[in-house]
Amino acid sequence: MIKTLILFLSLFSATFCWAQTKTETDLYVAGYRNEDFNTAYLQFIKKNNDSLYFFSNDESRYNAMSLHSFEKDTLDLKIKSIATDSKIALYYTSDEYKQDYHYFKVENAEFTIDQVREIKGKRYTTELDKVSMIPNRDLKIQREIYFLDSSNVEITHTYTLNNTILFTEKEIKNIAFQLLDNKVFFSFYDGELNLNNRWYQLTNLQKDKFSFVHYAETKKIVDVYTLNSSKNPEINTSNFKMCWDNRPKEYYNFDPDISYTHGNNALLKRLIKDAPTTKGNGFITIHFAINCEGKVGRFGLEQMDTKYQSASYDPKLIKHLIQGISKITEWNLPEKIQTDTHRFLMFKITNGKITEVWP
Amino acid sequence: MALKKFFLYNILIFIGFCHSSYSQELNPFENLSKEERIKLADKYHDLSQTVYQTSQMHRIYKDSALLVVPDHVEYMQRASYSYKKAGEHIKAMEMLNKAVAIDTANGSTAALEYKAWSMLYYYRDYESTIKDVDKVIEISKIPYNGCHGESCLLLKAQAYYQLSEYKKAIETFDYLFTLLKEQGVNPKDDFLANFYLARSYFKLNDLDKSLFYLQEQLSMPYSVKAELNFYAGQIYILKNDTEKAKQHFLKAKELYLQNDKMNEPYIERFDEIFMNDINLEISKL
Repeated sequence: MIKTLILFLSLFSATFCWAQTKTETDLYVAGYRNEDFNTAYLQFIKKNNDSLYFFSNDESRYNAMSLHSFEKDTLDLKIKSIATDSKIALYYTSDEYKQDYHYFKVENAEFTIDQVREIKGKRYTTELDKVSMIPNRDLKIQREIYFLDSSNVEITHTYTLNNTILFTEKEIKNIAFQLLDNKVFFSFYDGELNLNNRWYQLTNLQKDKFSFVHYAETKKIVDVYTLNSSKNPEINTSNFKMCWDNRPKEYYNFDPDISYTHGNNALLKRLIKDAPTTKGNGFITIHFAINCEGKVGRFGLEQMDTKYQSASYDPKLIKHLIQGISKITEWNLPEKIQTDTHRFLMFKITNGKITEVWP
Repeated sequence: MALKKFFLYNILIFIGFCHSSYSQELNPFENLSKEERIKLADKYHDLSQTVYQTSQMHRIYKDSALLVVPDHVEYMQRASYSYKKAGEHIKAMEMLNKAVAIDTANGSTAALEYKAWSMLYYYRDYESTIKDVDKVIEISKIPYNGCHGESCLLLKAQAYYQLSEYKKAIETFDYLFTLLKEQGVNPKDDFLANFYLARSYFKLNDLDKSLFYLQEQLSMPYSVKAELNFYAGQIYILKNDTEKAKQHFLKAKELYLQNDKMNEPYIERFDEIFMNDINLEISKL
């Protein structure tokens, strides 16, 4: 009996001591800030028990805070934190300021820099539901990343409908790597790497494919890229890049709305010139982004019949419309606009011909 | 026999368990009272209003509200706005049609009124606009009913105008004016109705009547002057009065630059004019 008691006490003491000395350090990567805008944010958090240590790509710049909510700190900011095993959300509010940051526990996938070097000089392709948060239902969108060298990539988006390539967009970006706790993160950026960029975690790397994990609109997104044996075919390639990595503003968030300078009648006349015909009646909605410089890209498509159900029209007509829209520069953008904008054009099909465009 | 009973009981327990799990999946808020559900749905709805309308977060909150009160017509209709404004029309119309079906089955026309308005301006589906307006009036028995801030008859008349059925458009405007007079409202105060009435007469080549309504509106304090001058100028061209046409086009240009023109958020109005249209007319003089 005494022996049992001693054994029990010893076990209890050992467990207690282990619990007291154990420190849990977890690495979290910023998914985004402003959850409804999915704004890119380049930061990491290390969580050590109830403390958070913040650092960006420059590990020397540390900040720390306790994982508690504060009614008001010295800057009159109210801070609320919500931490689960997989996510930490921080909400900062004051009378004039509201900002939320969302960090996600990194995936348990370890690599060495030597392994990562294998992708240099190769092209990889993935398929996306939509790009730059521009709505899309019907287009097949492929993104190709060509790792030119250790500091540059060429990114190509190809828009296809029923195996017909409609349009291709290309951009060159800088690339940054970060190795943390043997986990590898990539960022693709223009100019200088800064807090408004996004980390993509490498979670799988094989001879012919790799995967990136990133986060958007509350969700974890896994993009699986497969090795291209040759360059994807291109059609009417345009150089286009978004100014920001976040949800573009809607066209009606401006006064007046961002629209074609010369009105819908002039737009219709321009876009139906030499337009192929199709079959039936219904609607075609072409979505796109107008970047802060007034250039058009990042397409999406929704085809509907007159009952507002999914439909299908001749890809030649869709191609004609997308290529026509891509050339438009006459948008009534506000003089000092700094944001990208989501705009869509809806076309009415009557007996196979385009008869109206709006909104 | 005992073995049979044992199997039978087990099967019944299994079915009961599955049914219970399925029911929970169908409605996770079943345990809440009606008042509690409404309160919770209101909370989700309020939260949706704090985030960007076309964002995923907004939609999650809206869906949550509808999960709590699945047949709430107003929340269903308002949930469709996020999709409609983003141009995701299949989903928008799916939600709106459901809201209309529930609402009209209860003898209410609020959702249908909104649909009639959307059909005209967002979908340019003129036949549906006319059909929906007629149904609104049939159910509500109020001929001067409003459809999302505009007179339903104004929508119907514009739909006829867009279908090139100008006589029917004029008849509808005349009927609207009769109703307005009965309500003690001066028909001249309805700029849009008078403007499209003038445009309908123009399309029927009745230039004098068209000019009459345009000039009448030019004398009104709150009308939109650039469009009125522009279309008056076009009539004077057809009447071979180049001088008066020029005056109107130049006035249209001046007012356009002062932003005294049609300027509707979300959509472009029918026959709204742009600087190129004015310059083209001036260049032809």
